[in-house]
Amino acid sequence: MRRYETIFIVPVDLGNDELMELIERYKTIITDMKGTVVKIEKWGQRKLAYEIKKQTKGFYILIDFTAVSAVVTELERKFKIDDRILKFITVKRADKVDLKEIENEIAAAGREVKGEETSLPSEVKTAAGGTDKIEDVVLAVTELEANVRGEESAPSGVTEKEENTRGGE
Amino acid sequence: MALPSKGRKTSRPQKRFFQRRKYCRFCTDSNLKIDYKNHTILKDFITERGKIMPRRITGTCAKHQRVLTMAIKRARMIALLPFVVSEG
Repeated sequence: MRRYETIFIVPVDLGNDELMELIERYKTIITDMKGTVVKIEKWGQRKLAYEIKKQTKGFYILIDFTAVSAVVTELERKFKIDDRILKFITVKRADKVDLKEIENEIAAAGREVKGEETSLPSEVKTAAGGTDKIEDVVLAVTELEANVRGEESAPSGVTEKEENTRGGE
Repeated sequence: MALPSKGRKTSRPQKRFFQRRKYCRFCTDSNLKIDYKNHTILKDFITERGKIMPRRITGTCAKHQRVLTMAIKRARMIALLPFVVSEG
């Protein structure tokens, strides 16, 4: 089981009922193949950075789920057939999933108002993934390294100058 | 031939004007995560034309530049960022 995240874009002129049906359909694809849906986020309407199928606006939907890789191929196959999907992307977030953690996250996602549109991905930014901890550690290490480097170069102005010239190249 | 060029080289640093020290934004702020969904941060690292800015200009460290490049390319794929801005 792996943790994936799929974003897909549908046209804005799609009715609300049709949208719900669409989401439900893809949700069942995941659940039928023994995957679990962690959360579904509707970002709402956004202006596209470039035209896709003559559309300048799109409705973004994010599905966060855990499943085996076969689910992704099936999901993407269906996406390609469906005309209403303007564009999609699937990103692997983690190779292994901890089921208990997933349950907690599902509960947390359920507590937030369901079905409410999160207008901008500002909330997405804070959404913590399983890999965040590792990233924190790595960041801390790089910070330490930066400090060490800073101390080395601080007392002598010569080294700093050298760095400057290198940067100017 | 070699001598005059040497003399020019020594005078070069004086012409240089003061430059603010560049630093990697992601190394200094560990809370700042590079995420392809967060296009507001990624926007700072692309030019008006939509090209990825080189790290000699932004000052991003090599490690984060790699992650950043990936994030920008992903954001382009789902139309959060443009591949190219042709007008203007």
